[in-house]
Amino acid sequence: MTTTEDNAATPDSAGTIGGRNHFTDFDLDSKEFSDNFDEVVDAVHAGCPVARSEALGGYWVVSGFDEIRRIEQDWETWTSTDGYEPNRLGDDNARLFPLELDPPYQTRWRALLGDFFSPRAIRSKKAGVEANANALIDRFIEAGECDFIDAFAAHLPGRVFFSTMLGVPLDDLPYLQAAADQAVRGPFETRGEGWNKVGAYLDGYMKQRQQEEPRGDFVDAILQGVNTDDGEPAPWHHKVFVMVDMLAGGLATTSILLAGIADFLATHPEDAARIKADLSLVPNAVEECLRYYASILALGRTATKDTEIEGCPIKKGDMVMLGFAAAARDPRHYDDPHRIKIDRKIPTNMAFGYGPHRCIGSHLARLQGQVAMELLLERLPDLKLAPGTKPTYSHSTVTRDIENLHIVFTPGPRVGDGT
Amino acid sequence: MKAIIDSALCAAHGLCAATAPEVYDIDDDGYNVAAGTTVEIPAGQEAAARRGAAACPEAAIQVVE
Repeated sequence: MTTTEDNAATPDSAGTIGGRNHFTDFDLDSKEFSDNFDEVVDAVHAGCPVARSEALGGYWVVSGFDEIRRIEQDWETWTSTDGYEPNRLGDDNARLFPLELDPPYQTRWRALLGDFFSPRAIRSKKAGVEANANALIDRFIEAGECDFIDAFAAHLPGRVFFSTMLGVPLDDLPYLQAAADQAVRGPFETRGEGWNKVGAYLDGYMKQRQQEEPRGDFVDAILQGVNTDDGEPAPWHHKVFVMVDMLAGGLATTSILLAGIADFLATHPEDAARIKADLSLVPNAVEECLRYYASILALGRTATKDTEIEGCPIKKGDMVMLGFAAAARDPRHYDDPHRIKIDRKIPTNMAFGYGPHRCIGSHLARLQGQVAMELLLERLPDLKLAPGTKPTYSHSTVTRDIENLHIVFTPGPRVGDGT
Repeated sequence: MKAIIDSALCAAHGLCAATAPEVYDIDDDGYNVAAGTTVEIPAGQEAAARRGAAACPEAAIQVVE
């Protein structure tokens, strides 16, 4: 048998890319995956609907759009209550609610929070997002260069969340941002500590707000709470878990989107010129950046009974990681998936997940992306990647991060008073 | 009050029916059964209609007076 025939005949060999077999020894965190993302995604879509990982105690990885949709809709077979990633059970880490809940309790929280994240509610935040974005750009625009993540992308989502959604003092932001960063992107064994820090701060803030006059915002809604499936009012710690989830879901994820948008503008000058000449193209261009730079690599579900996916038997208790970033590149749904096409029609953006747990903050993420794209085109119109550099990607089970993005541009004037 | 349900936007997340089952119903594939039509909201169910519309991730449901 020749080597070529061997490759064609044995599915396993097709899974070997960058020195790792991604069909039988997948690892979401591995450098072999993050360094060869496009190629590995193509390989699993072509030949491996369900990959096996022995990392973190073992899990399955599903990458197909249709398979993920089926699993997300069937929450009775695929529970979220055993955690969003492996090894979440059995410790005292802060939980993330409603992410780690099932309907109907999960649904009641979604219904309560939905009003504050609807397109209409989020539209009213636009001026606040613009003010925060302009203030951040003012800090580096005279320099002509910056690391866009350190200077902008890592900060805007937190500033927006804390100033426009929560109303906490901006002075507290560096501490909170560092803790949230540790929780989501830190070394695996320190993530629990990160969550605990975030939880402790928000617990204190919520207790403070409970003593104050209601403001009618979403903090008050969380304090009001919903009933559990036993018909009892949600206990205090559940309310903290909801608050932590809203924060955790919105920071790193949106940072990655913003970095992706800057990378896109820097590397696609023809598209950038077209969008600058017609700003009505911005929303769809942002939607395509959401798909291409999909920031959630995967989130987990656990089988509640023996079942199967595409003929692969799954045992009760097994964890399946749903590979959203790969599904957002599924060639059965997105033609030429590794190319950014700003006119692409995206009926359902798998970057936000699907079904009951679909990202509740999608409209806030879109708004920040749209504001950032417009302001970058206006204020840094010739931004480019620094010569000889390109962004580095890294994976942390749940997120697909862009680690650094060194940009250069013609220095411009500040527009604000430096606050 | 009416709810206009856009069939091009409905993507079968199922959140309308989960949030406001008294107003919205979904088919076996998760799509709103009334997608592509305008539904008259019975008196007394206005608040539920609004909640269900707000829950839709695709903003496929528009509630009008």
